Amino acid sequence: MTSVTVFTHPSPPLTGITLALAAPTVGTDWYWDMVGYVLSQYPGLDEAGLAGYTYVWSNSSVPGTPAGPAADALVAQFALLDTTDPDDVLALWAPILAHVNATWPQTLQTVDARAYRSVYPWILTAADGLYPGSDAWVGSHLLDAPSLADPEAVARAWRRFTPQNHGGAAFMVAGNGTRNARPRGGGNAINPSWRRTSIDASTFSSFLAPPPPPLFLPALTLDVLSADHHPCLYPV
Amino acid sequence: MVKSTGHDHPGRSIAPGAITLWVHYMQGVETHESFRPTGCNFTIDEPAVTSPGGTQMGLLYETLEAMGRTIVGGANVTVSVGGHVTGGGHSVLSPKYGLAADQVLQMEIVTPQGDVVIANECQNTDLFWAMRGVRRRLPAIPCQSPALMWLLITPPPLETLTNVEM
Repeated sequence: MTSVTVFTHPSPPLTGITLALAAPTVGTDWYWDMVGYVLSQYPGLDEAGLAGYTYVWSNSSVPGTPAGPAADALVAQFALLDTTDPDDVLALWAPILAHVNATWPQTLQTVDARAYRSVYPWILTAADGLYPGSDAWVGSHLLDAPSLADPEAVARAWRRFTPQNHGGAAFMVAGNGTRNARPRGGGNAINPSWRRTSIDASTFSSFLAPPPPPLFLPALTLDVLSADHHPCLYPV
Repeated sequence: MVKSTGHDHPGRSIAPGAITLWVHYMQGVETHESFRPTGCNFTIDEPAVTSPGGTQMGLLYETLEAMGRTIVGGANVTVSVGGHVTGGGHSVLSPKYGLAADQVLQMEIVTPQGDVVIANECQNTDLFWAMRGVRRRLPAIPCQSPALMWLLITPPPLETLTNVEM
């Protein structure tokens, strides 16, 4: 594809929320019960228009979480469009966090909600800063609302799904806009399951070990490779 | 192999012994107040933007931000529109507007046979359907070098590839 023309849209104001729910120690059973409960609430948040990215870490280093260098932690960033009142997004999460606090009071929790004038400033704050060049096999599954209805089943699935010393993701990036989309020409080739998806669940396993030699690191950390760098120099 | 920004985690942007077509320098932003797809007898009276396939999200976001507008794009500003759109393209804007592939009005595609075609709802409709979401099952290549295009259309014996100047 040498060129593409797409719709542009007004960039809406939004309220972003960043939250982390972590266990003080790793390897507990209750952590997965808590994860299962939280993820089972996602269809309701999805229907309310919330969108964002959740990572579920298992005995893994997660910068910024309150539990320390290696943690079991659920870390997420969400955006609620068309509002600049943080109370709007906090109200969506209030009953969920209240249940977590009541049921698993040992949970370490951080919540931060703030307004953004448009999407791009939020993306600059919440952006996935991963540069190209990471090598990993990715596995994913599109999940609809009924599949997330049973918190215990979700807990069992996610515990099995998430590698130790690693993490998995639950992306809430479909919503009614995707389910009810009317693309030009009457349809397109996306996986039809997207039209009933609530969560895009994924995890990955790196297949490149050890780390690349220092010679290649400057190329990997630039988002523009010079014409002198052969794109196939990165060792596979 | 066609490589844009190379974000593909399983490494499908490169391969040993392959010719890499690197489209990174195919970048740009052209905005429209309305858009008439090539070969159609109607105009879509909504704002749009046209970008070459290597255009990174950051350039699109920054350019459109100045106009108070945005596209359905991902949260990584270094990803290119080519990979994002052809792969489906989820976004925090998807709950409001749909996936990136749902936003497409027109594509310019170079086929493996070397034909440069326009695909939209009025012409090459099969390609238009497939390129919005099928990703790497239908490779499309940029037309950068006539010599390279000749090689791709009529592959020579393997031993002659080592003499190619690009």
